[in-house]
Amino acid sequence: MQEERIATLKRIITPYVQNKEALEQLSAETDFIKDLEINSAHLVDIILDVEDEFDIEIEDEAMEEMLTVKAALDVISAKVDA
Amino acid sequence: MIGNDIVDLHYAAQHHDWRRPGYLEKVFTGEERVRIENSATPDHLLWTLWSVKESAYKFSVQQGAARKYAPKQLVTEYLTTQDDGHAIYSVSHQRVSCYVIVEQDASCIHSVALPYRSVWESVQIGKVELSTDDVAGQRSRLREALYSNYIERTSTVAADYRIRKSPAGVPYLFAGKERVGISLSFSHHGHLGAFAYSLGSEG
Repeated sequence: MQEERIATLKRIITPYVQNKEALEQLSAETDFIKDLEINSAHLVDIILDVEDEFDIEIEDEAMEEMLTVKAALDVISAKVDA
Repeated sequence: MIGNDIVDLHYAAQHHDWRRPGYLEKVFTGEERVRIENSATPDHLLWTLWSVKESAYKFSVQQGAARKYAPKQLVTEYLTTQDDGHAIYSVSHQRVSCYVIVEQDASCIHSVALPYRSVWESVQIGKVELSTDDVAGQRSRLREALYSNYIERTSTVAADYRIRKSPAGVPYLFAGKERVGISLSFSHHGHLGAFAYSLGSEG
């Protein structure tokens, strides 16, 4: 389940990633901005894409933390598996 | 402390669809959205406010604020436009506030966040056109531009300059093993890169 979600997340973030080498080594610890060098104006797109993909609503408090793959997976789990 | 942010307006028009449902609501306060929606040039105001927030965010991280993605918590207020054409904003973020000076032309918006307006007098800015999509190449060209600017500005001899980043991502300039006493910020967007630094010990 988790691997499937990582794969989905990877598909969502790929168009916005500037550091393609870091994308190859994607792990739970990967930081969207520091590692993947995603422009912060594109983080909004990722959050909206995640909302659409998983049919969830991400509130501001949850969005605040979504700087890493792990944080994003935690937010998705909390919503989808609730 | 200093923060800076550059928006490549040509790139933004091509790559950021801020009109998609939900986008504005995630980024801007109600009051900011009203200003954008009522603006005669909504794209320009939107990217100005974005850039003001982003520079203020980098400033607050240099002040020790935790890394978070909470653009709505950075509340922008337009103060005035100076004789030189630069717009001045203030941004409040939790209990911290800063001033943001915005330079703009047809191709870009560049914001610099500072603790006081008077610090502006000692700020050095550089903008670099980055033609390649190779981020490592962009980063090294921007850093080289900073080193040249610093050497020229301070009349120091060229040294073994390098940039080191704190765990929070704050950049520091080193000459060999010695940290240089400046506050420094980098940004890039699209095909533009920028740096801003202030001399002196307030950083």
